[in-house]
Amino acid sequence: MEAPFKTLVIREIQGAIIDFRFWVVLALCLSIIPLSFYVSVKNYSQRLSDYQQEVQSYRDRTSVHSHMAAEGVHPPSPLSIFSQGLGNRIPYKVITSNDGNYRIEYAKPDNKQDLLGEIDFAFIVSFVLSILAIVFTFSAISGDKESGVLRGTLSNAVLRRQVLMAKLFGNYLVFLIPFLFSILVSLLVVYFSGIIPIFSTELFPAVMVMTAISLIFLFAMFNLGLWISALARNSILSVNVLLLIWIVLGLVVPKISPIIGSVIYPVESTGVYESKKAILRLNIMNELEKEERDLFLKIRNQLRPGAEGVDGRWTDVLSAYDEQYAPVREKYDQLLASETEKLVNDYALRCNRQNDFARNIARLSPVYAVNCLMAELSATGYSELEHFIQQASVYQKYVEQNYYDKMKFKIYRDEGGYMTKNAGNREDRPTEIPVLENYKSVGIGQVLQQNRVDIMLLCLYSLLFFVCGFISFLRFDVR
Amino acid sequence: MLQAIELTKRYEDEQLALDALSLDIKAGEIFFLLGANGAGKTTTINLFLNFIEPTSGKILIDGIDVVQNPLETKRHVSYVSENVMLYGNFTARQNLDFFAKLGGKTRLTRHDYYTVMRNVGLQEEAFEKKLKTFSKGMRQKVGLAIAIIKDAPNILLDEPTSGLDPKSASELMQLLLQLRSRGKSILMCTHDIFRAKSAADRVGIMKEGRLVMLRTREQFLQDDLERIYLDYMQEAMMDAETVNERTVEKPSKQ
Repeated sequence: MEAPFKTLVIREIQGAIIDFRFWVVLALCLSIIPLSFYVSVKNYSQRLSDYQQEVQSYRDRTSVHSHMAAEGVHPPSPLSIFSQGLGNRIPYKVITSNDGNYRIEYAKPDNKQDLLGEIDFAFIVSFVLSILAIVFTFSAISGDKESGVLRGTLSNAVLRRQVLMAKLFGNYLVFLIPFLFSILVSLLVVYFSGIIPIFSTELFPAVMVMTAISLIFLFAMFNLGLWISALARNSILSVNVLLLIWIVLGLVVPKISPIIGSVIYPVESTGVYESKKAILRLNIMNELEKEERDLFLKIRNQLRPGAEGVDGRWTDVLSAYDEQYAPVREKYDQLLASETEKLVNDYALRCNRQNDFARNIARLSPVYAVNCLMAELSATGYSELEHFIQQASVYQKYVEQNYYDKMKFKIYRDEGGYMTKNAGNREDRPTEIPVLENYKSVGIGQVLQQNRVDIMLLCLYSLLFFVCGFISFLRFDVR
Repeated sequence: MLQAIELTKRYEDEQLALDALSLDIKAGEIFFLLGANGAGKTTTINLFLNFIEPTSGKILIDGIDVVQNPLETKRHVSYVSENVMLYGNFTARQNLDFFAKLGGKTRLTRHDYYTVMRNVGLQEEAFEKKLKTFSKGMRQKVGLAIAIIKDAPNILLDEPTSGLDPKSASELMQLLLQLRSRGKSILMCTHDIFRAKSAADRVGIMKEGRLVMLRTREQFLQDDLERIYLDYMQEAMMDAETVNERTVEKPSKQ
């Protein structure tokens, strides 16, 4: 390291450490970060217990029969202690049905939650620490300009870039000490709670990635602070401008983007969509039933004219009906599948278009980008939501193939009513109820792949703010 | 050695701050640059420190071009401003240590810092006190201690006695004389005609960016320097008033 640069960095470190702001950051980090993890672990433990009770209660109350509604309950993610993410907007369970349909249920709002939601690690990093980063940097350059110290410093054989880099790295290093230390303390709190194996190979890589993402985000906020500090004539102006920018980036952009998305690409609610799906199914099934009845009456009139009612002795009628009914059923199954697929795809497409649009606007804010990444890595974000919905459909198919199909019964309808008859062998009937076992949340590799844009954006924001700060400082008039 | 050759500075707003200034301050010489506010004294210092670039002309420190080698020339010059502002949360010694290291003096001990602070007349009990508790005079002394400890062959001072009590101002002048005797070239911009008369080897008077008078010690001791300077100051004030009147008249014409 060049001698003047080293001197400048050491001065910045010393200056930052003796400043009261460092002690405020230290006190806040050491209190709220471990405390938030402690509370989050307790919450997770409660949710895990609720999940286990729900599964047990399902096992206890449900018996295997052709009308059973199999329930696949979404297990809570242990990494949700880092970010609650979408919270209650993450599906809670999928409930299957023997008619091929399934519905997704969402958890009811937690009584414990207040209006502002819970304080978790993502909230602390994106809101509390980002403000503290601004508080740390707003006067780093503007303060020295005001006091005239910068003039004295630059009258020596130092380069402006050395002064800027020293301010950036000196202050950033000092800021990281309480932050990283409090993360370490928090991880130990989690580890010793014995509930979440935080240092396991399954969880620890995500923890490391989340820490790295926090560091990149805070670096971006530091660069933003230094940029405005280099631009502003004095510290008051600098802090005012920075707070305004923070309000826009932290509150306005993330909150307004879904509204803009829903105005430009309106999409009906999930309830309306589910109703549409049910009506579509009902209409097709009604048509099928009508055709079933007509077919049965036609065959019966051909083979046993004048006879009334349906009974099991009509083996000729029933076997002829079975034979002719198969292609009809297949036709309606295909129709139902294709129409449902159309509806589902159309809804998903419109939802995705709205979400993508809103997310692209929200990405203008690094605060949103870091929150989004934290939620994704904690398996409480949009990827997990989509993943569970996909898994819900897989679960429905699994239950259909392994349970409903094995307990199928044939229906024979005529003008007087209908008669049912078991389709399969009794020995093949399953005896255990289906459960959503070994559910795996979306993996870290997939999350990083899907959210590479957000990661790149965070890096880009850091670079952009740094370059802007650099240019502003180089152009600053020392007079 | 500090040299300015036909140095001109015109700002972006076309204001002519310095008009073909030529100076040559030799080793062991104290040069006082006098002039009213806005005469171009601080602009001259800013040009020597490469805080701004000249529109034309050359600035040399020990023969090195300031524009072409700004870092190198800054190693050859110390600077004391009108209001020495240092790090308030640092002690006098810590400030001295920081600026000494920036000036390339990396092997100095606490004893060296104490000696220099003693030499500039700072009280012992102030050495380890935070600078935010210091008076202006005490800060000026620390500023001078920084300039001394850098041990650069050239010293630029921008109105260093402004706001100082007579005793502190007199002590500061004594220090400058000591530095001159050690062969330093000193350029001091000031309004203080009396200090100039007592300590300067040469005096220059600036008006509207031009050096309008240059006198050696023998010359200004023979002439009535106060009278000459006051005449220039009066002219400058009248010019300023005329400019102000014009500025005031402008809106009424519209």
